[in-house]
Amino acid sequence: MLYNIIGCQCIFLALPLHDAIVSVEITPEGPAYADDIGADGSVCRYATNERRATANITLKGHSKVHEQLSAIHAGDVSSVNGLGVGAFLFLDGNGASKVATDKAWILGMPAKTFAQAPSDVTWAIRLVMSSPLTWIVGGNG
Amino acid sequence: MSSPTEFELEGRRFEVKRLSPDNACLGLEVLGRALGPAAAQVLGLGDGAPPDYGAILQALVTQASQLSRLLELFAPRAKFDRSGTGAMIELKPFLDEVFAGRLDLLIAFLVHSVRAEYACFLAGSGALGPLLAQLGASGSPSPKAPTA
Repeated sequence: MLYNIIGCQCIFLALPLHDAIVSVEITPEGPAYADDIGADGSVCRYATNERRATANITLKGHSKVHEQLSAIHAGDVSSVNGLGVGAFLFLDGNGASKVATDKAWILGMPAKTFAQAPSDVTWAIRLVMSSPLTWIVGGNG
Repeated sequence: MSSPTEFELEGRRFEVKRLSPDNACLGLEVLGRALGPAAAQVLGLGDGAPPDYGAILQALVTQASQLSRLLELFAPRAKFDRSGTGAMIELKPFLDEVFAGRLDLLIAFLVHSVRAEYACFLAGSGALGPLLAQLGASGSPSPKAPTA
């Protein structure tokens, strides 16, 4: 069994996000199903059709990726809507985890604290999943 | 404020804004140091023909380190279409991605940038043109009357 963050690929708009990486957290925006209950106790399950997720990419403050993501985001907000949307891929090279979409964009500039030590910085990237098949939480073994 | 110069390299669009006066002077100095007589090729002082890249490369072989000095000047002024969608983003954070292992592309980028920056320098169309014409006329054994 082997897990190694170095063996994971995280790529956004053809930009590898691995320089001084701390963590990648991918969280669904909401549940796939919700439910409703009547006063008589009858329960209805309904699909929310929620397809959004957020990838929180945390990098050390000294990572050169920050400048690249800043440039990408600046280009996105200063151009016609949609030009900053592109592909996102997370792949565990030693396991089965995979998240892939062709619709991803930076939600906004991250918070950054300037103190004695350079603080970590987290970039939030919106993912719109086209299919549940492109999101696999896998193990290593 | 002059508009940025746009050009394409290998199907990818670049645009470069003019340097500040300080950096323009510095760039000219670096250019002269790096290229010597071949600088004229880059500045387009010839007969309008495209630059002789062979002559430029030959000059650069001994002064290649000056290329990075020029890149330091022009990269922060440049944007490029990284994704091919038309969204222009800053070039500086992506220098490795664009130019690593591609010295040819780097030189082509600098040639375009330098020619745009110094297009009117010595080329006759700028403020220096009439002065140079007078200088040339006074130094010639059969001088022509200077034009105003």
